Amino acid sequence: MKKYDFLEQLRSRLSSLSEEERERSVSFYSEMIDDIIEEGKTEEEAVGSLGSVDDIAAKILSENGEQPSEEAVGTEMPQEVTAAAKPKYNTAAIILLIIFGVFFGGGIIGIYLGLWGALIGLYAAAGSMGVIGLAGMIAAPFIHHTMAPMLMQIGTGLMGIGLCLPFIMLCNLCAKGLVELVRLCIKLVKHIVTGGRI
Amino acid sequence: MDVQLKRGLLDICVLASIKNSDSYGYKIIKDIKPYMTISESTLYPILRRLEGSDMVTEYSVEHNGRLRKYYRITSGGLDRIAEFNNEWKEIVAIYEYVTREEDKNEKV
Repeated sequence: MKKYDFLEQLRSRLSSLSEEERERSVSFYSEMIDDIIEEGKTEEEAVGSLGSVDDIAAKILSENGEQPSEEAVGTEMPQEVTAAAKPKYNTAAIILLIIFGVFFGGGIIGIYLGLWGALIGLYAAAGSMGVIGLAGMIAAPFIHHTMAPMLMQIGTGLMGIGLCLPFIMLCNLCAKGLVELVRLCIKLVKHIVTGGRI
Repeated sequence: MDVQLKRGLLDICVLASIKNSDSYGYKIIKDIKPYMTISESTLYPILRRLEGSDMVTEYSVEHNGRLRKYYRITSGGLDRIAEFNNEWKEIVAIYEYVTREEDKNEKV
């Protein structure tokens, strides 16, 4: 990985910190990479030797949770370490989410299901357009005995089939979008609850 | 080594590495590595903690067209090293007691 990518990843993982604290960490690692490169390593090797961005960010975040005191060096109680190692949950965010869920959860689920209903309707419309088009084409020679109306009906039938395919493709896209929407929502909730760690 | 013990010792090692002359992150790691395992991700929180408890101050110096942060020990940091040296005598006494009792056990 390049230095720039590494620092950008670190920066985004530290988004819950204040800008000052975040930039301080980033510049520490930037300096470290430059120093390792000066020793004769390549940029990739230097970045690789630092370990994973996730571990680095986790250490910085857990250290930031506790306030330094005059006893901070070497005399912390063991409980503090286990507390720092555990993921921190944002209680206020969880309560807000629950309240939000109680008031709007039903409405949101309703709207979401409604969107699926509309989509199923669109699928049906597209499908029937195709079926009617096909049926019209096949039936045309039996209904009409003159050339012109028969050709016109075959033409309309072809158009129906032609329109049905892109419509179905469009519906597929919408369906994917709806599924993705749920995934994003879950990710967002996770992000809020764990206070920035996904 | 016990996590707490290691953490305390690393703090002292970092203070020792800047006791006689100011130093920068990468050099501190290189100086400590022969004695204790230390990585970049371990050093950063230690330095932040030592700064927070006024044992270390920092300043930037230009180096090869970029800024490099140097760390300087404060009187508080020097006190901490002296304190450690005293604590160490207690720890040695405890160690001797423990090994003595172990030996007795083996003889019985």
